[in-house]
This record gives sequence, structure tokens and C-alpha cells, in this order.
Amino acid sequence: MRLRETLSDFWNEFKTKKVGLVGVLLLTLTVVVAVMAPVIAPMDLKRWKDPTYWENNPKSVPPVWVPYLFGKTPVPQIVISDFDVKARKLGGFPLIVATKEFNYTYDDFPNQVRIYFNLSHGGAGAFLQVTLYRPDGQSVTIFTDTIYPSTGNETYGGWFEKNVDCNREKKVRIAVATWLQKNGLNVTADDVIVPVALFSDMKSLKQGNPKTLKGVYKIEFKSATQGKKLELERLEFLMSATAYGLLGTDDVGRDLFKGLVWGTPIALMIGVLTSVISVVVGLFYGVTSGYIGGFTDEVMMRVVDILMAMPKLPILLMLAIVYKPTVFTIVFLLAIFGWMGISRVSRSMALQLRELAFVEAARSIGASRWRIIGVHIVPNIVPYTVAALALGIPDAILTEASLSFLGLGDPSLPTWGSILHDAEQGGALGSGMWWWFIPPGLAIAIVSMAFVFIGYAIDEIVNPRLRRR
Amino acid sequence: MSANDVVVKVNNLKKWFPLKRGIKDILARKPRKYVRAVDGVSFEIKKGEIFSLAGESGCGKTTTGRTILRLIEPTDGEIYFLGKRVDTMERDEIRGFLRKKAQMIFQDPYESLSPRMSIEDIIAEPLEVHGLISSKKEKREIVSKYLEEVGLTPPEEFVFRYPHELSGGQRQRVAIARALVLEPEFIVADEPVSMLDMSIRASILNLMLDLRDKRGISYLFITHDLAVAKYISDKLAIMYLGKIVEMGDAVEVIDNPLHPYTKALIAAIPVPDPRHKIGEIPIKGEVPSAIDVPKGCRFHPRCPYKFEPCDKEEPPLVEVEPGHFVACHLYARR
Repeated sequence: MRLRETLSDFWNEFKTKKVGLVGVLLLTLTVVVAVMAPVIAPMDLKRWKDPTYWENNPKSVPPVWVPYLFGKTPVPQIVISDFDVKARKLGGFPLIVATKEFNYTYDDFPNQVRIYFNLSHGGAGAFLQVTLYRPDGQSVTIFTDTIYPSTGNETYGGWFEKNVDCNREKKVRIAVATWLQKNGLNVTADDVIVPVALFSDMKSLKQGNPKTLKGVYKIEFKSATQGKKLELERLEFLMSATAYGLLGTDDVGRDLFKGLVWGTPIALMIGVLTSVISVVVGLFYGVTSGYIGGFTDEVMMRVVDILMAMPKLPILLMLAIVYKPTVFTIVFLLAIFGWMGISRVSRSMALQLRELAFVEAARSIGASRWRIIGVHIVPNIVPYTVAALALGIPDAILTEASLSFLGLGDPSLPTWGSILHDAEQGGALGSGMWWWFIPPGLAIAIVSMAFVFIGYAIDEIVNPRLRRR
Repeated sequence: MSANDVVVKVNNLKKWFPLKRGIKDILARKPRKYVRAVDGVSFEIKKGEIFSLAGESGCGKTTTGRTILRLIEPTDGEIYFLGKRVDTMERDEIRGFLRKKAQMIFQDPYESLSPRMSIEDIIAEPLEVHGLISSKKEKREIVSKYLEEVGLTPPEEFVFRYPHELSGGQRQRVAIARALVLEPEFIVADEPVSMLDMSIRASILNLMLDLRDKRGISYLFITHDLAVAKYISDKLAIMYLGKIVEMGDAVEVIDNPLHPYTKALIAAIPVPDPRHKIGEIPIKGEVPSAIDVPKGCRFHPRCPYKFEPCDKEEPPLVEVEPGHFVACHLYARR
């Protein structure tokens, strides 16, 4: 039958299936997201798993819209970089003092505090100190460090760069804890929460119900050297937000919205590729087996039986442990275990078709076996495999997600399964970080549902026996 | 008539289909059973001759036709086509020789044309398979020529169509065009008109007769309809349970049937006249199974004239009158 007619007939019938239309709607949505991924979530895909790429992001914070639901204004990302830098001489040696005042008026504490600096000291070493002056007159020396003179061996010696994560840096924790102890609080360096301590009203902190101390703070960076040269290449003081992005962040600060969006094209690719390979391989294998028949058929079908009897997931797990897989090896492995069902169906259809007169007619004019299979049999089976194609996609997506969830997926890409894996590892469930595991779970469900709905609708059209009356 | 005029010669052709044995049968060492679809058939077809095989369904006439074309592998016997032995031919030679020179027309024109190919592609397929066309233009020219030859005019109205857009008669014409396109010497026509309306049958039969007259094609015409057989054939053979029971000039066989089975078949032909009643058909019962063929004459359980040797000895096909062969003890005695 002419292709265009067949397709328009098909579409007219498809339109009457509500389930199918819902599927098409969901699919359109996911395809749009997948195609628009570089626009709506720009990022360097290769650095998804690289923590330094995300280090300035707040860690484990909910989506920005969440605080508003509770009537709170989230603390935004505050980066102070336009310091007032003064270079002086102290007893003949260079001294740098960089200061900046800022107004902190938020009800909530920053998620984390970071100090980034890049100091050029000419190889002679330097001493540096960062102090926070609070509105209540107190001052805290957050961080001190000594840079030792360079040995002179290194070509690019003479400058020093550091990104201090104040929440984690031992020195900072000790300094802050000492300061709190001086104020009469019984805390140790192990359990101090740096951003809370730095920005809280001392009285409320003592009562165990910390509130922010609002007002003008001053951050001061001092450095001195015994050498001749001292220059501050770059200095940043960062107070990170308490909420981030549309879907929050995970424990290394990755933007989960970006992960979710980029997971879409990857999931679609894995699903479609796996399913197409499985269907094509299964179709030709089954048709060949059925058409040739006899002993060949017997052997080919026993191979299918053996593969079918093999437990898919355990073998995949084993292979994934042995060979660190990429997406394409995963697709390949999934396809290996995905074609047998189709091959059985197409074999039985080939058995029917080969008895039809037009196949015998083709034999009687001398058409070769492969021509008959390719020109006369396969095209007549293809419509029936479309449903299988659609239904194979969610299967592949789910299996890949389970592999990734077990930590055996492609380690470099943001797949939904790997986000779930990270969430499980990061204890998202226990700490109530729902924004970490609910969206990828829903995404897997929605995409699978889209294809299942479409598959069922197609199945009903091409196999009229399944039609519900 | 010289031997060169013989297009097809079949000698004691047999086709037995083995039945599947269960494990129980194999363990019990029961002998393998066979369906004896064709069980020793001999005849020859001369150039330009239309040879009909007639008989009830299941008598092996279609199997005979297919075996001659090696669409089914023969079990035993010899097949000669244009002087070459075909039954032992290798696959390559079959493709290069038999598949080009001998063609087949099938019973059901709704089934014998691939539903996803256009008429042009269907007719040109034999040429493509044998690598005989080089350009689209050439393809169109050849296809048009044959469409005209089978009476599908104007050809440009048909080339782009698909089988489902044509009537049964038109489809059968397409099937004939496909059979003609390789310029064959011999065509097996397997009940080519039995699925068609009465009104179309005559025109298809006439087309086949025309082609025979123009091109000298020989036909093996398989039919169960003796009226059609009488109309089209030069020679007629009646088959029963895998054997030829009567063979001769078509008119002679039908007007002067000798074998009791042929007589019964002819008596059963309906006549389009309400006052005519089909008389009682002298034979009783059903055709026995081709697995357990009756001993002796295979027709004897149903034969009204059965006598002493019939259930013991198989009657040979003997020439009772010049060119008129019968396999029946009634005539062998004389």
C-alpha cells in the first residue's frame, strides 16, 4: 500500500485513542526539553561529575521557590569581589590590606562561606589573615595562613591561589570555635556551623535558637611578605544562597535542574537507540530463521531460547563491573538482551508470509533468499514491530536507570539513574532532600509512560484483535 | 513430431511429503509416514500445447506443477525441460535457466501480488532479479509494452497503481504480464481463473490462448473445472490421488470418457438450466487419505464397476485408443 495513505489512515485511527494522544503529548514535551537542553540549561556536560565545576554553588539547598512557600525570602548568592585594596610598606616590606563593607539583612544564614584569593608574592612567601568585623563590634579572624618561600625550581613560582571552603576548612572551624568559646559558648571545632556562627546574633546563639545579626559587616584581607613584591591578583568573598535554581542542588552543589534537563536527551537516546537496534536485529534474525526454516530455524530458535533464559540484570551487572561502561556499551549490552521477543514474533509472521503466493511468485521468478526476505517479507512485518519498538524504549530506559542507580552506568553523564544513585549515596531520603530524588524519578516515569501509552495505542491499531469494544 | 518439440517431459514423478513423527513413534520405531501427493506421474507437453491437469482438490495436480518448476523438491522421477534434466539441477543453474524460461501464474490474484509494490515494480521484478534492466526509462518502456500486451491500457494509468486498487481480473492480467516479461517458453498456470468472476474468466482464458498463438508458449494448465479445461486445453489428464487415471486429447477425454472416475466428474458438471437435474453421481464416499493409499487401484473403494483384480493389482496407464490413455482394469483386460 502506498506509504502516505497508510500513514494518514494510521494517524486518523490513532487520533481516536485517548491514551495514545496523552502519550504523544508527554513525548512531545520530553522531546522539546531534550532539544532545548543547551538553551534552558547551559553547562559543560563533560564536567558534570567534576566537583570543582560546582564548588561555588550552594550545597544541598532546595529550589528557590521553596522558601517562598513558607513565607521566607531566600538568601541569594552574594559574591564580594570589588575590594578596596591598599598597598603599603611596613618597615620596608610590602603590605596589602583589602577591605569591603556589606550589608547583611536576611533572615536566614548563608549556605556556605568561601574565600578565594590569588596572591602574587614573588616567591618570597607571605603571611595572610582574613577577618570579619561584625555590626556588634566583635571581630573574628576567620583564616590565617603562611605561604612558604618557593624553592625556586618551579617556573611559575611566586604566586599562591586558594579557594577556602569555610564550612569544612579545619583552620577556619578552629578559629571560629575558639572565638565562640571566648564568648562563653561550649562548642568544639567539630560541631561548629561556620556560616551560622559568623552571622548570628550572639544572644540568640547562646539560647540555641540562632537569628541573624543584621547590619553592616566588614571583611578584611591582610597580607605581608618579607620579599619585594606583593600583589593581589584576585580576591572574592562568597556567601552562597540558601536556595538555588529551579530544582535545588545536591551535596556537591550540582544544579539538579540542569541534571534533569540533560538527562532527557540521554534517556531518549539510550531508549530509542537500544530499541531500534533490538527491533532491527530481532526482525531480521526472526525472518531469516522463519523463512529458511528446517534445521537452521531450529538452531537459530534454540539460540533465542538460551538468551531468553539468561537472567538479564545479573549478567549486565557483572559486565558493567568488569568493563567500565560508556553509554554506547550500555546501549549495546541492552540491545543484546532485547531482541529475542521481536525475533520470535517476526519468525512466526515469516512462517505465515512465506506460504503466501506472492512469496512463492518471487521464488518462481528466481529471486534470491535475501531479496525475498528484504523486499517481500520484512516490509510486511515492519508495521507490526512499530508497537514493539515503542514498548521497547521504556524498557531500555528503566534498565539503564537501574544500572545507573546501582552505580554501574556511564560514570561521566548526568543520567537520571545516576542522579538517583547520588541521592541514595548522599542520604537524600533521610535528610528530606526531596528535590534530589523526586524529579528524576518522575522524569523516568513520565518518559516511560509516554512510550508505553503510544505503544499500546499502536498495538491496538495494528493488532485489531486487542481492540477493546 | 520430433523430440525437439517436447518442452516438458515428466517421467514417473513422485512427491512424498514426510509426516512429522512424535518422539513416541520414533521410540517405537514406527516407519515414517508420507503424504503421497504425487505418486508416479508421466506426461509430456509439446511446444505451443496447452496441457491440462484436472481433478478434485488434493489430488496432487498443483504439487505436480510446482515440482516441475522445482518450487518443491521432487522425491523421485525425472523432469526434462527443453531437453535438460531439471530434477537434479543445482540451485545456480535453476536460477539461470529454469527461472528464466519457465514461469508460473497463481490461483489467487489477491495473494500473488506483493501488496506493497507498485504494478510497475511487480512486473519489472523478474527483470531486476536477473539484472536485465539498466535504467528507469528502459524499465518503464518494457513494463508499458507488457501491460499493453495483457490488455491493461493505457499503461501509464496502471504503472503507479498498487494491487489493491485493481479488480481481480486486472490483477490476474498483471500476474500474466509478470510471467511474460522474461519471455518464457513454458508457463504453469495454477487454476488462474477459479477465483475470478464468470464474466471475466473467458477474457483471461482468451488472453492466454492469444499468447500461446503469438509466442508459442506451452502451458501446464491446472484446473478442477472440466468446462474450462475443455475450452482451453489441447491435452487433458485427469488425476486421482496422485496418479493420472486418464489422459488424451481434451475433447476426446470429455466427450468420450473411459475411466469411471472421469465419467463421474463429467456427470457432476452443473448445467445452467433449471430443468436439468444432476443425475445421481455413481461414485460414493470421499477421497481416501493420501497417507493410506488403497491397495490395488486407488479408485476401487468408490468405483461402481469394481471387480476381482481391482483391490489387488494397480492398473497401468495403457493406450486404449490412439492417444487416449486410461488406467483401469476394465480396459486393460481387452
